[in-house]
Amino acid sequence: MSVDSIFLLKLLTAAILLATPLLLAALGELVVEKSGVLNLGVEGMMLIGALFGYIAAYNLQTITCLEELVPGFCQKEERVFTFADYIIALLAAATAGALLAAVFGFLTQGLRANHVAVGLGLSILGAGLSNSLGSNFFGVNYTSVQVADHPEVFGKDALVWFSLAAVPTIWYVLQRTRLGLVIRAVGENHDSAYALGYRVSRIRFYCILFGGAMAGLAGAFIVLVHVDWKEGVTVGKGWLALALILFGTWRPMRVLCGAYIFGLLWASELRLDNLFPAWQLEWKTLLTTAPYLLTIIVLVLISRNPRMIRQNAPASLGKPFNPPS
Amino acid sequence: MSPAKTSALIETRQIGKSFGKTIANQNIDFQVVPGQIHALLGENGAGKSTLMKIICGLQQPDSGTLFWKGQAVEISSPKLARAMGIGMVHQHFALFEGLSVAENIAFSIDGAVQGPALEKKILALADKFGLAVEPHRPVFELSAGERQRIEILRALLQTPELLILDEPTSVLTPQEADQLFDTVRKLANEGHGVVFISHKLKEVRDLCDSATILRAGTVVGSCDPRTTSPEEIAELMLGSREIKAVSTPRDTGGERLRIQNLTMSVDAQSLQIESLSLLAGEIFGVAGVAGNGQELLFAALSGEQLCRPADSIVINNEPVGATGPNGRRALQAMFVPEERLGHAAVPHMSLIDNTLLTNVTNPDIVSRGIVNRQRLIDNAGQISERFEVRHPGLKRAAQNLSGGNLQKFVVGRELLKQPALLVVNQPTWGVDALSAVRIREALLSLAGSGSAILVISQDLDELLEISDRLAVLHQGVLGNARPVHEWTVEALGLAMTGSEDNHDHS
Repeated sequence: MSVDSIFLLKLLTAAILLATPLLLAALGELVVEKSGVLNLGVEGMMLIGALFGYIAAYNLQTITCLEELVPGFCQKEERVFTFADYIIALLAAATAGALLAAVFGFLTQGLRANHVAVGLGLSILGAGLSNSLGSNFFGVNYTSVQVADHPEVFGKDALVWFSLAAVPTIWYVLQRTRLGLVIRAVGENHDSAYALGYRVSRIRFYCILFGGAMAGLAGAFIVLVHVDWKEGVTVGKGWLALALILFGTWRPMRVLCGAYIFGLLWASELRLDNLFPAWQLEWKTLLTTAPYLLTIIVLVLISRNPRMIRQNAPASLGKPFNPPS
Repeated sequence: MSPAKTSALIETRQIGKSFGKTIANQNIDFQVVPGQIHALLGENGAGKSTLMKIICGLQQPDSGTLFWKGQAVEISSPKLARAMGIGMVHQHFALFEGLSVAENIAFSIDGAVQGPALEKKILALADKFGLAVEPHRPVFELSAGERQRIEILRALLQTPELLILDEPTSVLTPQEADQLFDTVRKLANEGHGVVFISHKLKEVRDLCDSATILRAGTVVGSCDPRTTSPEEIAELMLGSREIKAVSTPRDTGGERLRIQNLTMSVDAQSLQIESLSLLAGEIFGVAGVAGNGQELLFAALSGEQLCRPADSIVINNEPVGATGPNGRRALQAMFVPEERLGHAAVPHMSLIDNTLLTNVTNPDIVSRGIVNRQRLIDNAGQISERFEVRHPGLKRAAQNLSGGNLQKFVVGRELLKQPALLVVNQPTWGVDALSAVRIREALLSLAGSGSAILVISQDLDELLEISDRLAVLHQGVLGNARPVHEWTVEALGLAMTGSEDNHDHS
């Protein structure tokens, strides 16, 4: 392989590392929003998922030795990290994310609180809780490993494949099954769905749990595959996932494209010196804002097409449902 | 009242329901036996919808008992009602606007999954019931009439033992209505019970074999509509009140609206008007079946959709094709759209604030960008006084008004300004008979004072009653206008269904 193609492979690998958590969290939140719920707590759920995934893996003596994922990335030899350990750690993360989501579900569906207020609170709670629990558990902050190049992740990590498989699966469930029809109906017009006999709050609650589990997985991917745990390790990816859903107009395929575009931009931003050695700092700074600029541009473009918005955006998004007395 | 052991499908005994201080239902005894088509009559706000909502599980009665096939039951949810065999077609559509027609109907087909196969299946079913639908289109693009068909189809697919139809024909063509009646009769012959709510006595007399009449929340009588005269029924419904619009002869004056070679196409709707001229003092009716370009015609006239060249629409000798709604209001042209809630009025805003919405160009109320609150409140008060709007307070949200009262309010809001040109879409849709008469009277007296009025309506009787000239809108093309007395109902029906090329008449 030439130097260029090695560099390209490294770039792609980094892009996948960055895109996968975005994709997982955004797909979960997509289902939540399709059911008419706006959960702004994605960042908080990702952090909690990351922490508990990390703690589980740590207890399984895994953190330092992701042998089969990352050869040569094994510093402290303790015991071989098996695939089963990896799955257990992921399950722990998904459960933790879903539990935090359940709090949101109870407040918004059970007590009919405002989605935006509770969602923001959830993000703050998730960040605070993960910080304090994390420092209790690990004592001091970890210094994280900066975007290490792990070419073997490409083609080996189960969660990457899972996230890619989730795209057509979620599309199929939403567009081609009765369950998906009911979810979209609840998000489109909760009064009509109730009149048809569907339990609006319960369906939404399950969707919220799913979204929480996916956010938990997203957080776990970051700390298990990419970098070590530290405070605020998700660095705003939860917020970017929310923007990604708008970017993708609530369509799984477009969310996938968006996640990889963001990932690629992010990855190249970290390798700007290699890519464009001649560039001035100002230009590099500009590129770091690219995902955000791109989102804004796309939002402006799609809002010029009200038909597309109307057909894809859930009409009851963020509106609390009060069943008629 | 019949003894308890009748074979009644549904029976209510002494049902009572109130909302705050408003009594919606009081001691209501009502029953439907299998094979019966039972009319439920009454003005808007008489308590018909509340009673039906109680029967289909959407609301719980405060007192009284429901019997289903002789058994006392509590219908605690719509799901239970459906499982028991009660189906309802709502007056206010309960459709999912963002979903396609096929997906909306899929809810009523057991085990149906989405996709192309479903669309085929639905076309076949729609054909069976004689209701035309386009399965792949999203519902938000459809007109009221098209939506109604989906609602009816959806209810029929559940083969309910008791089918409740809440004003099903208000937006159907006569032919579609006839097909619906055939279907309803067929259901009744098979032993199903049908409750039919309508304001059109003629339909009730054609279709129903018994009727219960409600007024102010109580049963004021029941009869066999086939043998009782319409006058008697109307008197039971309204009490003894005058229900006849007065027509005054009018002089016509200068040209207030001219449309010349207007061609537009927005989304799936198109509009094509060769030429139309509307004079002061004239009422021009636009007939047509829902979904033939009425929304686009209204939007083009109100300025919600702009068009080119600017002089294809001329209001008061000013070319306005490129002028928005407020620019047109400044020319003394006012507009009343079809949808009361959400288009003509903002549901969550107070009547006072809703008054402001179309008065932002009114210098009496807004000067230099500052709202004169007192004058605004006075104006809102005048509207409700002049047009007999019954409301729980001007500061209450528009959605608290009943349909008829809100309609009187949104029409009155524009009438009070004495516009030079008024464009109104479906002025009396879903409004009780008395309110409808009031609105028509107000339109006639406005024309009498020298305004030009363009009325878009699907109610032919209404158009024939108030219009001076009439044209039919079919597939976006406005046919030639003729004075009302030159039209016959048959000719209109044919033009509306496109069976007759009405361009040949000039």
